[in-house]
Amino acid sequence: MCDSHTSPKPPGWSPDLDQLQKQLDRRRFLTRTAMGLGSIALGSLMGNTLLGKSISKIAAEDASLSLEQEILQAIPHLVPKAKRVVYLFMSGGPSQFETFDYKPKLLDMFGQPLPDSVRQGQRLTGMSAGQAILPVVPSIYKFNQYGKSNTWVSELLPHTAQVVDDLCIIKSMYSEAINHDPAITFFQTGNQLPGRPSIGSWISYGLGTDNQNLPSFIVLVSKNAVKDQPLYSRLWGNGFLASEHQGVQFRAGKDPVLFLDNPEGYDGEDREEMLQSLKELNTYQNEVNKDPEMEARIAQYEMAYRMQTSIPEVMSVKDEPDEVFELYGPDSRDPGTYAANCILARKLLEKDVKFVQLYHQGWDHHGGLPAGMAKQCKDTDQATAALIIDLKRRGLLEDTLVIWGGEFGRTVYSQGKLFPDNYGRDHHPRNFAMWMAGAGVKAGISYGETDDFSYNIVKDPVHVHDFQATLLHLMGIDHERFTYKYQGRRFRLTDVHGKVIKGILS
Amino acid sequence: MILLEISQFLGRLHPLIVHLPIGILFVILLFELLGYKSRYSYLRDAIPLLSWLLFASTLFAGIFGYILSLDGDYPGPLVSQHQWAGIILCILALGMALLQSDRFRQKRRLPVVVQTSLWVVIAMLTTYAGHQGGSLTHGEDYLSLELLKEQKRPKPDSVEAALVYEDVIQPLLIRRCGQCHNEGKKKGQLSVTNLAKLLKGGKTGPALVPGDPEKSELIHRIKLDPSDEKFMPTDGKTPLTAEETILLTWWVKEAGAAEGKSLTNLEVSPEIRSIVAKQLGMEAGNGIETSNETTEQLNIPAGLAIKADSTAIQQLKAAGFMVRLLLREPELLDITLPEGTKVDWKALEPSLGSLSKHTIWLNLAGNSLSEKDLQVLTQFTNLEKLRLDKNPVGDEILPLLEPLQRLEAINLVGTRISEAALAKLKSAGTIKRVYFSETSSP
Repeated sequence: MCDSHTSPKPPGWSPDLDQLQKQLDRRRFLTRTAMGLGSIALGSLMGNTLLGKSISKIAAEDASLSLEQEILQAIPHLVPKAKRVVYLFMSGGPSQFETFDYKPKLLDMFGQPLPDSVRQGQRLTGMSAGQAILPVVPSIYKFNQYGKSNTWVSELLPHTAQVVDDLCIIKSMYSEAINHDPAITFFQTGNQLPGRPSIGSWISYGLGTDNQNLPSFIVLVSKNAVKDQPLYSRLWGNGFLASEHQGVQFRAGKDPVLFLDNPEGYDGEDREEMLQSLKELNTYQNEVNKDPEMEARIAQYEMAYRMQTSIPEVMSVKDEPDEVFELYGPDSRDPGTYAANCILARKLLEKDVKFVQLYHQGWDHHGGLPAGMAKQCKDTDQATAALIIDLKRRGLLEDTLVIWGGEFGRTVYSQGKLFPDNYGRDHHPRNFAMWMAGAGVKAGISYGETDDFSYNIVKDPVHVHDFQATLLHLMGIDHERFTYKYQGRRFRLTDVHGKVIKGILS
Repeated sequence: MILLEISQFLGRLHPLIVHLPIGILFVILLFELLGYKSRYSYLRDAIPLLSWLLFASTLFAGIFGYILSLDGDYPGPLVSQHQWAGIILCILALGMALLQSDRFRQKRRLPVVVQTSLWVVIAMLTTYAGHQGGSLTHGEDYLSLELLKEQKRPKPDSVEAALVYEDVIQPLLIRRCGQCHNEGKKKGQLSVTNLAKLLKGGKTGPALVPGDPEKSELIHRIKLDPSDEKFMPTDGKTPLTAEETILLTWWVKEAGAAEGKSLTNLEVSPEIRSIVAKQLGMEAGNGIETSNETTEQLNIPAGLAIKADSTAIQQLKAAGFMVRLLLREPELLDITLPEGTKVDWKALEPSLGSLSKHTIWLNLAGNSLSEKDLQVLTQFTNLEKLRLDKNPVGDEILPLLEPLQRLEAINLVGTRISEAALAKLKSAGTIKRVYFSETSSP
């Protein structure tokens, strides 16, 4: 390991020079000198108005700042439908076969090899590519039709089935990545490689906050899940956006935010004064160094101070009637579980937190899928449905968008040996199911269709970028106009892709 | 990246720099001719210097022109002809400068008439090269005698009197495609200037197949995904609008891509009619619903000033309200009074009132407000969403909601409103969603 902070500094190194280099990097230096001198030389040929404009632009403190403001000031691009989002991310890749994509024809094909005409030579993961046969396996769980929309839902999701008329189920989602890390990163940041801002960060950056006392992007990770595939904080990271836009992860448990209480022997009376002095010092430092991280730090200190009062208030569930805990299920009394997080999410949404993201791991069933899916559904089904019911009866579903889904789907064939009552499924990014509900999306519809094997999409494919574009659209943002210039290129959540899915908009 | 852009930029200076040699040559010719008069014969002494200047400026113009040609924005043989003309001119200018240098003159002096005629030849060649250059930038038909013969069609008086191709489609195509596909430039060998040329098409066959938009290359190209290599207009130029695309498709399909047809002898949907009217810069006559429908779809209340009262917004914000912009033009607002904010409600009513037309979402949840406080609601006639939950509001709220004709959703959770009043509210007017439940108010 290179231990950079103890390694000897090069001769002539000084903290000031180091700071100067941060302010005036190579790129900016070249832009300023080349374009600056060049435009003065050429300016006499081009007339004064143009020259005046370009020089004043170059002279501005930071040329990219004005571009940033220009882009931000155009938001919202259209009247939003949703004011806030709660995104229930089912990490690991839940099987579409045992949840929403009903494929009755597979029942007669149990154990038969997957026809080549279906697979069409498409890639498999290294985990099942070497398998001698790829035996088709139908869902071991039964399906029934529910609601006025007569939607097929698996018996594993009895509670979700009760709210199916509020859902817009997309059966034709597809992704580009076939492994967890790139697929989740792709879903949350629009790129398979780490480093881009997450959806919630983009929204926080573009729309700001509706509640000064809470972060606008909060992340809750269930404690009661199999942590077979890891999650990383970059999934809610701010990428190249300012640090105050990163998702704030609450710890799963009784103390979601540490060190909110005053230490023993200190009553906190002069804390505001202390923070004010600290802010002055930081502001002074910022004037010298112009490091954007300094501004983020100032903002975060102030947020932390306000959170000392807002967090205990929002975390306290003692005013919730028993009926609420009954609705969300027995787990909901145990802080940090998925069900408790769902109650917490509702409370945060009530406080107008803009983007709440729940993560529930453990959906990666390469083997032992029947038992695994049953457990996962049992842990999440009731609370998920309860969140919809609770938001709806409080009138919050009117302007809240609820999203449920994972990073990809699973294969129609069994990975590993197929038994009558046990099988596994490998990763399948070519189609999978997720759902949205609430503000701006049609209720009680299914969108998109897959073939009889749920292997290929036959109607209305929805790419991950399309989903992201639609999400931004519902928040009042045109994904093509919402960019951030970084290292000479303008970046978008949807890169250069994505179409709003008009068919699901209400 | 920057270097590349600079070379492109310099190349574009070529059309400017070429005027230097032209001007110098003009002065040389003038001096040469005036020199025949003994009164002005001294002017001839300047010509050797001017010749060197001519050579230098021609050389510069040539270099910049070469950089411009690297851009590749100009087609085929014309460029190379123009290039050769420039090179020859440059050599001739050098020759003339050498002929008039002292060293050469000491050996042999050209007869004056020969010298003059050489200058005239150079001037003619320059004219030719200049014309070629003009053709390259403006198109070959820019300076053509055809222009004098052409007659501009008078603007039709009404949508009915207009001819679809002549008055709408042709100007549209020339405006949107003509920059590259004209008689001069003809990129991809296609010209859109008249119907015969369109039917003849370009490199990939006919641009139009009457009656069959799917087979028409032009329609196909404009409907491609803008990221497609073959999408038109190319190079990031503004794509055709949805309306223009619909109109062109309709014209190929229903009007058989023909000339001389007016709307009266075609079957026309109100949508097409309104697009045609718009293209002609006329209001749509009878089929007005379409334009109204679009504003309805966008859900923007009519007759609003672009800006909402900014002092009122400041006052509300200072008092603790959240005011969020939902749209910029016109400004539409989402006003929230955070739960349990203590405000001097009476003092703020005028500010709320002055923002009432611009406000489409209003959230007053959990602020101990009763009907008496809410008289101002009647002014919010553009309101679409209203939250009054967790307020001591009773049935007397109903009359206050009557003027709110655009109201779609109302939240009355945890209020004192009665079942009967709720039923009345649900059956009346535009309200689609009424939220009410007793159990959920903690």
